[in-house]
Amino acid sequence: MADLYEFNPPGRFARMRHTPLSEALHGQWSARLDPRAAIAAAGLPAPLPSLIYTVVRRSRLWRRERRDVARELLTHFADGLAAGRSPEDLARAFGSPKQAARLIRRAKLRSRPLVWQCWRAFTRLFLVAFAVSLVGYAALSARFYLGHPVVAHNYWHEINAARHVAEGDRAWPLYREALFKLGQHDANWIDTEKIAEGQEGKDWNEAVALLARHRNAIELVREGAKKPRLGYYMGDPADLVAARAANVDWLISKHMPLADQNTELISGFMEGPQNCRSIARLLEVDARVAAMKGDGATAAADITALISLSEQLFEPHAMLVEELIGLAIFGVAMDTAGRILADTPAVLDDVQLRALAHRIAAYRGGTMSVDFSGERMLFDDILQRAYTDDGRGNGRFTPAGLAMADTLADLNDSFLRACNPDTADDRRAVIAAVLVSPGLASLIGGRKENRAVYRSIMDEMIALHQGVPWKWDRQAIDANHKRLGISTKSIVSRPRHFLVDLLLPGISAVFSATERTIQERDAAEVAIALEIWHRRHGEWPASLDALVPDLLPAVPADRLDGQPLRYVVRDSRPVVYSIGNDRNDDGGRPPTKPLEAMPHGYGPLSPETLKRYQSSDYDGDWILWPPLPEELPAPEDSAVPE
Amino acid sequence: MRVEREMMRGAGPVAVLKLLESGSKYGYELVETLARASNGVLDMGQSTLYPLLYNLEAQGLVRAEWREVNGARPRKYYALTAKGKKRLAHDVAQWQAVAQAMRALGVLQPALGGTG
Repeated sequence: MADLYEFNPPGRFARMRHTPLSEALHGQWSARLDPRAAIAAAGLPAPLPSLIYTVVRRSRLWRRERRDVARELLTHFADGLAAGRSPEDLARAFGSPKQAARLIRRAKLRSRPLVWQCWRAFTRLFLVAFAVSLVGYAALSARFYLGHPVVAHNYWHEINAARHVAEGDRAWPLYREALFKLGQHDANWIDTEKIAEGQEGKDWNEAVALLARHRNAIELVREGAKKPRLGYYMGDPADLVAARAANVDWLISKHMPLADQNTELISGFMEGPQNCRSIARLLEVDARVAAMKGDGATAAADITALISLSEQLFEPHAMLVEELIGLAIFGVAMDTAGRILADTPAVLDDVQLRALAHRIAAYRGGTMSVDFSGERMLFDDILQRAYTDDGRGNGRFTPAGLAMADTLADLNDSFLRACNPDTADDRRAVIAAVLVSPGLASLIGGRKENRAVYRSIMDEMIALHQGVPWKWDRQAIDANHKRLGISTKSIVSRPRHFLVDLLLPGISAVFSATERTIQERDAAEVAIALEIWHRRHGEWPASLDALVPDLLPAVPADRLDGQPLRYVVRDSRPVVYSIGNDRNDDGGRPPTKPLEAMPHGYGPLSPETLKRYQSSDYDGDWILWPPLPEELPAPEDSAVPE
Repeated sequence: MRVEREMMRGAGPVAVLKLLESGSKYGYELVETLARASNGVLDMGQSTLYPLLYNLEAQGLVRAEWREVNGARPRKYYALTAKGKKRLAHDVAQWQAVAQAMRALGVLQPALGGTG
């Protein structure tokens, strides 16, 4: 019997494990639970003690159970010996101690209390569930790490193809040339704040000198503004060539990604549209200085160029950032016209005023619509880089997607960062990230689902902002907003559409910005009409109705409530205004902080919001003309996701 | 002749219950009686018998008790419970039906004086 344990009487250590105290914990007052003591005391001949000891030890039963089994086997063999059988014969007749131990254990376990049986079943269930989960997670991990996105589409080319125009119709090469001539320092320096204090201001001379120095650049810009299209191509190698030829390294980065490289569309450098703001500032300052010098022709030409520049930014498949810059530049044009009319009204003659009014009315064919097709492409591009492609528009999230999402979130999301092995700080963090990533990825919705959610929210938001703004359904808009909002979601639902959360632009904010621009356009048209009326009659009209139909087709609506734009003559000066955020007419009085009256959103407000607006810094009207002093900061626009 | 393990698994418990019908018995006594009464056919090793007894005890078919009888060493005696008696009656009926079917099939010889 080679598989028997060697039997020795209990040693000191064994006795320590069976002290009266430890036995007491098992309901015994002496060391009687140690089967070895009982086996040794029985004095059975070999190999019977080893056999019994092997059976009870292998059974791995509780002490009390082992003692009972040992005791029974001892009497069994004692009976056999008393019957005249040899120890070897008895051991042989007993059979396999290993099998006996196994069967005895199985039988004894069935006799244990119900509580123990339940605990055992629960533990087994838990272990099985854990093992299954482990296997499942391993499969999930393998699936995740084996997933690779297929970048099949080049959206850069698609966008550039839609924007393509004859070289002679492109404004951007002229603007680029003008910016090269202007130089980085002057492009950044020139701003209306430099001339805000007029000819006595400390920067006046420098500003005038700058304008004189850059007449060529201004002429190039005016020439560009006459072109029908901006013609800015994303990732265009011609920009790099031009920058190299002009030895300019500030405007166009030599690291600029090219369209052929097909990197993430979101990483596309927008030097053209971004730097149009510098061009706009140059025109704005030139117009204001010209007006102060009494040069109405130059001022009118600059304002017209600003309007054209704004129009050019609404390219086919324009990115939202381009469109917002376009809106902002149109706002600059209206503001410039308004200030010149307010400060130096005589500088523009009737012909110039009428031409300007017609140009404003013709702006973009009378529409202010914003197209989100560029943003949709941007999202589709992200999807193709983050997900696998099953050929049917669906796919699963990949490690490449996780790394990209981490970058997109600008590392503000510590959870995303922790799940990205590429950015983990040390080895332990890398291991943790590798383990956690598949789990996180499993919580992220599929490619098709995320695309559908993105489009659904965007389409619904666009639909909710159709029609006149004073009838927009704010409750529905707010409810649609709540479909997003990472912070309002649980840890499980949060990652499901996190790409949508991350990349869907603030559509409501875009439409609000559009409405503000419409209001500024309308106010500029009213200001021009008022000035012409004033020249004719030597006084201001008692009501804007007097301007209709000779100078205006109709009094424009206040975009906040649909009523005619408000008007009052105070101190012999006309004031054109909207009721502002608080939604009530304060007689043309601005709030303590005048810009707080500029509408944050359109459509009827809830009584709570209205109450808040009417009893705070917001109480007052939005003064549209004459413009507010320039030292007030411009409102922030959160339309573009950061 | 020793029966196959699967047969023993079915026959063992009913054989032990039957032996206990006449009164309580201890382990070695059961082993010996089983071997003798079955002419060695149901001679199961003790490595099988004791787990079998513990199983019957767990099912509540037998009751175990340490006792000293006639001044001999204490032994663990097993006795039928009421539930065990019921099970025995049920199992005996089953075995008889099987035996009858086997005889009808010619697998078993008709018992002497029996009707076959």
